[in-house]
Amino acid sequence: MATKAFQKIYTKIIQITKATCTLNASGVGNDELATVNGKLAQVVKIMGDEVTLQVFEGTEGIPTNAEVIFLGKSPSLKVSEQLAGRFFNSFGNPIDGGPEVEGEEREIGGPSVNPVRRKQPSELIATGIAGIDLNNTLVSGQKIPFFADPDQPFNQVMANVALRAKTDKIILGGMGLTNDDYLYFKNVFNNAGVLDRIVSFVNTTENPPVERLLIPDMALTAAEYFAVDKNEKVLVLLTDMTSYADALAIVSNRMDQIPSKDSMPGSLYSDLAKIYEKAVQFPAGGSITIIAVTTLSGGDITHAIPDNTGYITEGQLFLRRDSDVGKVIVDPFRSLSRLKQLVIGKKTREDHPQVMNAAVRLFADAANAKTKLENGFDLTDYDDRTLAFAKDYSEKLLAIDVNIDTTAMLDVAWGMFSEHFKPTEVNIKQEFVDKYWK
Amino acid sequence: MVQKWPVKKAITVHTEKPRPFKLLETGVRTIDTANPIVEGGTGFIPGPFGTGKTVLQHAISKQAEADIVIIAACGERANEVVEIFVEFPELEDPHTGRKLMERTIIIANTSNMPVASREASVYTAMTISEYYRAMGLRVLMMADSTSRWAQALREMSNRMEELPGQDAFPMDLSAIIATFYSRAGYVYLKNGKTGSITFIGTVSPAGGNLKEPVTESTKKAARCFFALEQARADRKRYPAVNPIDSYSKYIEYPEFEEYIATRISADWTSKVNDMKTILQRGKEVQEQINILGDDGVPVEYHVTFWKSEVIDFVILQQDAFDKIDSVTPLERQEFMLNLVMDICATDFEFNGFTEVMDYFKRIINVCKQMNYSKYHSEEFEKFLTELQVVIAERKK
Repeated sequence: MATKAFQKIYTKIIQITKATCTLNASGVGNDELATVNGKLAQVVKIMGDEVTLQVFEGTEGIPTNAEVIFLGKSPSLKVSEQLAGRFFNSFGNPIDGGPEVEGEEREIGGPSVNPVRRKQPSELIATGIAGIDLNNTLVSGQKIPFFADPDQPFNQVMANVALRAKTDKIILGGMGLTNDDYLYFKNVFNNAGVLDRIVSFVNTTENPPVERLLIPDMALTAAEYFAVDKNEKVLVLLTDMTSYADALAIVSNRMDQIPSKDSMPGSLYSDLAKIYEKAVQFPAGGSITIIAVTTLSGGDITHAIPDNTGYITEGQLFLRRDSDVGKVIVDPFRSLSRLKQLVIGKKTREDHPQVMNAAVRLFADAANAKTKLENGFDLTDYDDRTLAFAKDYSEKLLAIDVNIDTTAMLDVAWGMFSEHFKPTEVNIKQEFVDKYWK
Repeated sequence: MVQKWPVKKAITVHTEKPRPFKLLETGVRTIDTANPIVEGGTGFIPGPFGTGKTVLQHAISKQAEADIVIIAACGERANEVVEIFVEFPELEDPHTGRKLMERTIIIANTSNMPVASREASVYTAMTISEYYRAMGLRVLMMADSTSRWAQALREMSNRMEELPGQDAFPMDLSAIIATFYSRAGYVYLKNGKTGSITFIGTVSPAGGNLKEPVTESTKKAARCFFALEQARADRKRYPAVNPIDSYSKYIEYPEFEEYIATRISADWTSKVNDMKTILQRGKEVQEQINILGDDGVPVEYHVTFWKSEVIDFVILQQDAFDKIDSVTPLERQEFMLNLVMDICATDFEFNGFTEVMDYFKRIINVCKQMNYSKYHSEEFEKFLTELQVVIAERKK
């Protein structure tokens, strides 16, 4: 940071902890950025004249007579068309060796759109993956996370969804991304030749963890620029929100807040909501869709992070390895897209809702039959047929390597119903059975 | 004329507050038939995310027989509020034929809005409800979700550095919730008219675990409990209200029994109890079948189980997105319950357990087609005749 003329420099720090330092200063605002001995810091607490700064990198090596300079602004991002195709760090500075972006400077972390100014989401986002399009259809303006264990291929699925979805811009917010994953995304986007549609804000595990708190706001500020100013359809990918929440916990712990469940801050719900609620469909045509990743520990969704997330987002997607077919599938039981009701049967074929439910119900029957089999009981003829159906269904529809359009998915499902069941066993409205039964 | 009132204080301009007894028709079978809520009653809907709390609440707010519906969207998703804005001006009130929006008030505090206003939002909604009740209207108030409200209480108590209680909630959480629920009720006003506030709140228990402070405190305060269950939702048995764990205290009130005798029939409550017994029995039998295997139990066990499935599929499950099935008037509910209970009372003849399932699946299928058809339409009667034929096949 270049020193400006007439800048006030403080040199007396009265307290230093592992992450914060405190000094007496006046005319300072909350959230304002500052440099402490050249390290970037942010105001997190003001009591009278006493200002507490959180130093992003940590306070190692900061002496009590360090030079503290307040920058007079909170974190901001310069927005313009030049953002496209670039990679940035948490502070919005380029990390790809390119020049600084020129444009209008906007403060990050503004309020989200008032409900009365929104439009009801109604545009389907097709991904070609039946586990998503058929059972858990995505809609533009939706916010939905993948709930996955760290070993599952969620980054691959997410990259696939991003590439197949017809959007104008894709914004990647990487929090605590390993360097390998960062390079993976970079390569995939590069190879697909879509780099000019992509803006990335990346905090890798090599950067200080607290810095990643800025990533979602940076990514969403860029998204808002494209969605509001340019009326574009923007898809925001946030991976991984668990790292984000962990950073929140670190900060709240250092600020002596009373922790609530799972040592997360009591405000976790509000903090996450502030990010996810930025997903919106504007009446003018622009939209922000958020697809996030929340990694779980051992599939536990009762942990405070996935739990709070689930109450905010419009559904969640689960991946699971199906040992019967040896493929990763989108789990039909636990996955859910809340906004699918707005498009299925309306933007897709009329029989979509009923086919979807019938297939999942039969899949549940198969799960029961499987339990019976494992317990050593004889199976009925119906049980055998549900098991055969389940295998087909997993392989031809739920697997994440499927890539067909929704009408084809419905036809495939009807084909399976006819092959394994009688019309009376599927519980579908008679008029659809008459029309589509094969 | 503007009147000002502090929202945390109850408006009590009535002479008497009797026990509520008048059935509040919601058109949702699992509520009206199995666990009815009454005008001036209180209920709550706890459930993990994705089990259909909001869909159920929206269904109730669209169909319920009320003069005014007040929805407090407390810390919930903005898109869900947009849904109300967009749909309600288009939809018709099934009771008056006017637009739904005309009777609806929304207090919107979506999840990204400040916590202090979140705390206030439910009180504001309740005060508006009391205002309309004092005019002698039937008010239905819904809060989605009261857990967010409790979390707002928690965040504020944390900021004020109060010593925390269980799960970091304020110590007096249970008292705050109880006081709030007690503001609902059926009243006689000073001019002799009546008014009511029916309150239904949703609770979003952390991790779906009902043993957490908000659910437990609410359970003490509310009289109806509609337990949404993950397992039912996973199997797409919507609404995912568990028929056995859920309860309505009102069904035990003698006042209610008297009222329902005139509104439907005198043996209604006993029929509903019979239905619940069959469901309970069906569940027990299912557990036994799971332990002993299909051929380890007598054929009658399978019949009992499948009779409970008929009740589940035909009465309890309801398609909230089908135009006809989503609203079931009380008259139709009576007809269907009688029909299903007659099936349950019938003795059937089977040669082995494999026949049982196939047979009852056929019955369920025909009944479901009836649910999808307009009441007493040609189609409906056709399926009814078909059903009689199917029943006659195996009747002893």
